[in-house]
Amino acid sequence: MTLHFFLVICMIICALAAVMAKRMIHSAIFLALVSVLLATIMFSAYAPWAGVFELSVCAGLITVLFASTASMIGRGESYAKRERKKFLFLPPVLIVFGVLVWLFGGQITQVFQISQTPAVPAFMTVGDVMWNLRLPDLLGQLCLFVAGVMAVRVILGEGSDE
Amino acid sequence: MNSLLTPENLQFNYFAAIMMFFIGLYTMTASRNLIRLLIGLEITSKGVMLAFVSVGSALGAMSFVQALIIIMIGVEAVVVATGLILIIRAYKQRGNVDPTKLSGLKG
Amino acid sequence: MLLNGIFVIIPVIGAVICAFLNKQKQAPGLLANIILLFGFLISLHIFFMSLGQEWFFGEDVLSAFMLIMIYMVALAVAFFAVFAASTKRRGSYFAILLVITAGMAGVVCSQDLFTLYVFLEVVAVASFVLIAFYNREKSTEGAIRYFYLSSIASAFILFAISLLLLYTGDTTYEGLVKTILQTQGNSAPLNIILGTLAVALMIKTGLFPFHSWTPDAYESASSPISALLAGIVTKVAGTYALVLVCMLLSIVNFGIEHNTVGKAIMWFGLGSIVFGALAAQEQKDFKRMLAYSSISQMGYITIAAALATPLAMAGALFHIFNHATFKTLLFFCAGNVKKATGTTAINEMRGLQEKMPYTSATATIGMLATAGLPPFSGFWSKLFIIAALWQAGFIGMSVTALFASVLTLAYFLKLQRGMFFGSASKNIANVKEQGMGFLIPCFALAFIIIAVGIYFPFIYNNFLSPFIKVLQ
Repeated sequence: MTLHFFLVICMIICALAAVMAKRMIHSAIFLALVSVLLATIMFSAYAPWAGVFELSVCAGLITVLFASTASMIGRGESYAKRERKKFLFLPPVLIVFGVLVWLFGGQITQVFQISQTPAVPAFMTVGDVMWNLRLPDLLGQLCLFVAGVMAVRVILGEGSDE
Repeated sequence: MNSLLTPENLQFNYFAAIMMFFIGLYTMTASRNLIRLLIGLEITSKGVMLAFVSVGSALGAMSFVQALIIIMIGVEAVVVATGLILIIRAYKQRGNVDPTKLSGLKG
Repeated sequence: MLLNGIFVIIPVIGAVICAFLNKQKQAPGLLANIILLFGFLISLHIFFMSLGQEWFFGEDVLSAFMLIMIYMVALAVAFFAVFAASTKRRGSYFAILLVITAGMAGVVCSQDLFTLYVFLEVVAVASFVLIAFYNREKSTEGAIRYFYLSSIASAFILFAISLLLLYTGDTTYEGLVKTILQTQGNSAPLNIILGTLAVALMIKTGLFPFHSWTPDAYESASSPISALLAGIVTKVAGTYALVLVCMLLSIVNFGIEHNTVGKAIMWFGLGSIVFGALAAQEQKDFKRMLAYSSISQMGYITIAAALATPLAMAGALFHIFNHATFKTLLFFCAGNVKKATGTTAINEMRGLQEKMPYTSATATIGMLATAGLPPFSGFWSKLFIIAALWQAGFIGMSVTALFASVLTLAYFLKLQRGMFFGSASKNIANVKEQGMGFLIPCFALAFIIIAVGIYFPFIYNNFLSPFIKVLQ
């Protein structure tokens, strides 16, 4: 119980650090930390598959993408100095917002407490759910991958031809 | 190991998810820097994933929620990659100008 | 979804083949046109088969209707692009065109909010690529702006889905409807969920406070692409889903009062009607003016959809169809003008009608239809919307919408006088009319506009009045 609280609070702090960091590469690393913490929470909540994907894709692949962009652009030193002032306000704003949500959120969660039995029976495995119920989503993901490949090819791979 | 994420602390989890979502949304609206925008997007989706996991464990529909999260991660990776590609293109075109700056959002 | 999955799978396979044919000159365009033509015919067949069927979210009359529109506009754009696309990367060009068609078909066929989200991202990613297709600074800027607003919209959609999952334990439309019917009287959580979704979809539609990406994107993209974006992409990715949300909102607290969130959306719609019409007056560029006009017309659709009486809903769907035809036509005309003269600035030339009579005539038809003049199709849908507003007691809004329609006429007359009418100025002495390839899509769309306008009683009796009955 307390460990869970600790993990979640660490995650929020890492998220704050990621948006307030001075260097692009630090932002990427803090983001990876957020992913690792989230993956730990997922493992502890008996969601191993989601945790594995979170670790490999979000903490691995996306961090690599961010880091390589940072090195390619060559502005890893500091980015957007002017607007960093705005982010100094973020922690106090967040605390005020959090207190407000904590005070009034009780009522909101009461309102939301009606959820009945889930539509999907608990005995189905992840694979079953994916292939039997979420087939349209997989189709959409296929389209998305084609679109992503075309994005890389059109925007980076080919020159201008006007 | 017992589940750290019991249905009893659903409220706390949802609170944390709202906090994460707020951080991400603040970043996305306050920043004119594209990389920071992408980081904000990532953080919002992390918040949503935390909410999904806690809802799944509260309802006992873990496999359904895991399927949604896996698909979401795939979608997110493609979107982030596309955003980074656009940034690199802007850098190539503008050269010395800060490539990540969005010059105003006026209509 | 899987019943209509053919509309998603076939274009994607076509896209992969097109991507491999990148160096060919004619093959990708031909393949894309054949696929889209077949899709169009099959969707027509499905629509006539499913006419008069029971109302059901997902694979129903509405999604068949949207499929017809998607394939019609995509076919017109692909045909136009065979002649108008000045690129050597034709394979990539048509591949993305097919991918975006597949994404839109997925959006209208989905029966589940999460599937809707996945396909909205497909459409968004393909749109970034289309906007940034040419290596210009302005295109990249437009794509980046779209990216900025679209990612905020996706965050909102995801948040709404997580709330929905908590509340109902399900993400399908069916489950949502069931929950709404079960919990009449406890409208707060549903209003929060659907309101969050509505904000996201208003960003995707490009309504007034969130419009900043549309003019840039339309202006910087090449003409076939801006026709596709304005004609159908914003409608499917934004308005179609917004119509669904509004329909769901209208059954929350059904019969007790008009939903508060619905009323708020109506104000957004009214705001963009007025803002779009006023901002269009100031524009000096043909395509930019069309972009603001689009914002204004989207406002009409939104206000009617949010009102959600049967008459208003019929008006909204009819206006979606009409706007798809005449805005695509107008962007094609802008493309013709750009190709012939090299510019779309309004005040740089006069009297184009002497040099380009067909483009000028079709553009005039499109503009009069947009402004809602009687013989054309736009008149009937605007009449429906304004009458529905009046009937429901929103008299101020209906009068404002009527006045905004007059403003539409004003800016289009300004455009006509500046560009097409009068005697030809010297700088366009060598301009020639475009070839038949450019004109056939224009003629086809103009024919649809006139035919729908004149044979309106037939369309009303066969399509609209059964639809209104189904809604009641």
